[in-house]
Amino acid sequence: MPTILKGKAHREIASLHPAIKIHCTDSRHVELEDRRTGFHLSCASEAVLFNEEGTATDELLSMLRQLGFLNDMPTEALRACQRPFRLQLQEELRNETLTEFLHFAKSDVPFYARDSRYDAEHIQHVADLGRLPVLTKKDLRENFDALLARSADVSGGFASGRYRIARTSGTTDERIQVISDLTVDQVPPDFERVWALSLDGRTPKTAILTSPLCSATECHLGRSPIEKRIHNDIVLNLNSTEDLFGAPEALTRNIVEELWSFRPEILFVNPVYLMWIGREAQRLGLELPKVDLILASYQYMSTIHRRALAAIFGAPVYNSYSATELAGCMLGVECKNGKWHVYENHSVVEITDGGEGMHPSDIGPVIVTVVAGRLMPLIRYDTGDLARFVDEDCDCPLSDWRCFEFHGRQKDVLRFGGRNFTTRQVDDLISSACGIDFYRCLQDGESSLTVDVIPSPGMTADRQEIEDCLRSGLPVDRVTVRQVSRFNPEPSMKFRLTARSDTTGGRNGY
Amino acid sequence: MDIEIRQDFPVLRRQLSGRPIVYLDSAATTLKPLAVLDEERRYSTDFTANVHRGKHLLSEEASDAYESARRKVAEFLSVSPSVVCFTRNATEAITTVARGLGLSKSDKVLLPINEHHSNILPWMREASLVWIEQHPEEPLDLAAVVSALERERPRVLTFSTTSNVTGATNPGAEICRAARQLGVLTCVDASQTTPHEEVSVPALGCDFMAFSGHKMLGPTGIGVLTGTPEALDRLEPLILGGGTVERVTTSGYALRPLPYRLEAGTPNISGAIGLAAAVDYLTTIGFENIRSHQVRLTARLQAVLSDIKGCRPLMACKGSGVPIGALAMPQRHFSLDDVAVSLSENFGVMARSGFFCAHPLIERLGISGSLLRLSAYIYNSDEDIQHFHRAMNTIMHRMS
Repeated sequence: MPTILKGKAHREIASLHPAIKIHCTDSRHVELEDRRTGFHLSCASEAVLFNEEGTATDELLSMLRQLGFLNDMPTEALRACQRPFRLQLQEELRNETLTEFLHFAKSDVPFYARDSRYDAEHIQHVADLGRLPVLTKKDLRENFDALLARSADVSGGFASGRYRIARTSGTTDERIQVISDLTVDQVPPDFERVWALSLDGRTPKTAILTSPLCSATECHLGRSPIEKRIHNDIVLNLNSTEDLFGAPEALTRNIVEELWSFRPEILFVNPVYLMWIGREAQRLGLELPKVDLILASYQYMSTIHRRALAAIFGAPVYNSYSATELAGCMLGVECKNGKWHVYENHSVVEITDGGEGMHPSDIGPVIVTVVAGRLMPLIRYDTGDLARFVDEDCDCPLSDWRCFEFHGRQKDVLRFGGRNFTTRQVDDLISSACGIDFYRCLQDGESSLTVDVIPSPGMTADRQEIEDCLRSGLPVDRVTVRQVSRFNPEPSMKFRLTARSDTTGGRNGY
Repeated sequence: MDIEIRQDFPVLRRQLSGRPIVYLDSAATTLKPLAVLDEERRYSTDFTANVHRGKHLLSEEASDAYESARRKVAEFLSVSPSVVCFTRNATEAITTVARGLGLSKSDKVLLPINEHHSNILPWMREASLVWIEQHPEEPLDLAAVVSALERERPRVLTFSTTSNVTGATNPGAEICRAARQLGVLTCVDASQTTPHEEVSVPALGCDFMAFSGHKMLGPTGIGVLTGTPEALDRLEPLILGGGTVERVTTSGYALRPLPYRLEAGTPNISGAIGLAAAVDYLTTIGFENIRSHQVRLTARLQAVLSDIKGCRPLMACKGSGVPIGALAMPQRHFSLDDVAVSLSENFGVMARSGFFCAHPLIERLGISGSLLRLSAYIYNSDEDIQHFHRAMNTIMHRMS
């Protein structure tokens, strides 16, 4: 039996360096945190780490020195020193979680159990996942029952309100209905520090604004009273519209009124919807309540909207990344440093086109294995999105979660001169132009682009500037810029920033 | 019959969820066979012109085709072509009657509780409604109707021959006879009957009858108002305009005879031609064959709807040979809207959820949530119903 350390050992460790915080210790097990970098170390050793007098053994001291715990150096250098260990530990944890999940899925989910290709025994590492097939929306549609875990008490979940039907509307290849687990925690650990909030431990109230939902139980088109749209006193679904750019004044007034009445700390929004409503509120001279944070989701957020929303609402704007098909689990989250992290408590992400030739930092399809999924577990699901991993260190509390760069939908990629251009790449170009509130870039020929623009109030679209911005990065022969007063949504009620017309033909390499 | 007929319907070639779609929403609208699509398109590709007011070749051909369509429909209804008035749909036809009779709020209109809104609202606006007390899921009881007629002495009795929710089929001829004996005008909504059987308007004995083309394989946007010449002749046209008048002076106008006085403006020419093609298609199959097929499907559907655990079947038990029925779900943890989406997306079954424009019926049944309706037609097979059954059992097993 390991000896329970007394106060002397605590003092001994604390005396090694003032930045070390002790969480828990006994003679063979120690949990330490380096307060300068947030590096949290849980160490269980077969060797004795402390002798009976409570003095750290050479083994422990050597380990702490190697990890930089005892070093005095600038924080940045210290982080760089500790990073390889952190990455290694996170990778081990990721692989452990993955293998445990795969065994669960193989034994508890009929879809995987009956398919010999899902051989959990041979997958020990994320890199091995490529041996397994990729799931598509079609698979989800055709295997509604077989993809649900046998152990999931679906009827009990509905009855208790833990589960809810979630669906996407949209074109034939997008429509899907799944059961969503409302109990899955959708905010990251230590979220106050992740997003630089100070809520003093309070659960933040959140108002949601996105495309309309109308179901038997709730309607977001103004037919349900606010009481029916408030859940557990902390979430309000704001009314929406099927015609955003033609929405009546009354909708904006209703949303502003409900925001004042509910006083959310967080707005969780489709950025296009909030941008229009915020702009309309300003036009109508309606004062907006201050919020602490805006989380954008549902579709790619343009830098134009990020800037404008921050200005209109006086709050930081970050992205939250999930998908209906993930049944309540998260894919990624953007922290206060503007870095997108894989939500590793829920998801293992691969960025791969299935081929051998991809470099680890290339842009590619986002394939997710939802390791937190215990209701409809997904192994290697193709999200239809594009991203690339970036080897960056981030000093937020999610430091150990891999960073990536989100690039939008695969189907929204433009292709000029044999090269692909993602929504992000196009947005980076156009968002440097001034005076734009909304835009859509439509590739309507092999080398031609039509850009529809709604300028900021009181401004006229500077066609030349927009064209110059786009030409600086896109090999196009013709750019046509048109000023418009509205955009029509997709069948999913979202608004694409980039798209290819049917006449351009062919598929991109993704 | 199933295999040969399925090939005629291009929509049924579509695959969803790894199998051909199963269409069980024919009470809302039926699929269109190639024969109808081809005839409808022929007007646009071969002889596009306006009807009646031109003397050139194309106009003559278009007029011939349009009037030929009217004759075909007249033959189907056993009436003279002069009492076949083309409308946009049954709703417009019923509204033409309700508006055209010159009713006032002191006039009573008697009707059953299970009517479609299109046979409620036009009357509600013009007159005072009196509801017939009946079992909401079953056909009208003749004695109850007679009793109500004698008690209320309404100006009009309006009813559908087949319910769009439960498939309940009413004894139309007996009801019309009883009404006529008491001097009450009758208006029949035959929208859910004409797809399934040849309707002889004289045998039915109604004053007015309405139906929609798209519920019997025809195009959308075409319907028919028919009835006795005397009854139709007394209707003030709903709309006036080109085609409805003999001549116009600076101070007045003279209406044309039936049916033209009730067909203002350029009609839906291709729609009428398509409807006639639909009548031809159904006649070629033979209503006897259709009847036996539908009776078999009705029995299957009744058995299946009664076997879905956690749901309450709503389907007429007495004397219906029309495979239309619905399900209600008492528990509210999830809705039949969700079930309809799952049936579609996960199993390729197209079934409708909602209230089917029958709010008074739903209220009378004491149901607060959506219903799920299944309605089969000539292109459906026993296997389609069984596939629905399996899908529904899977969904309900998981969810409730």
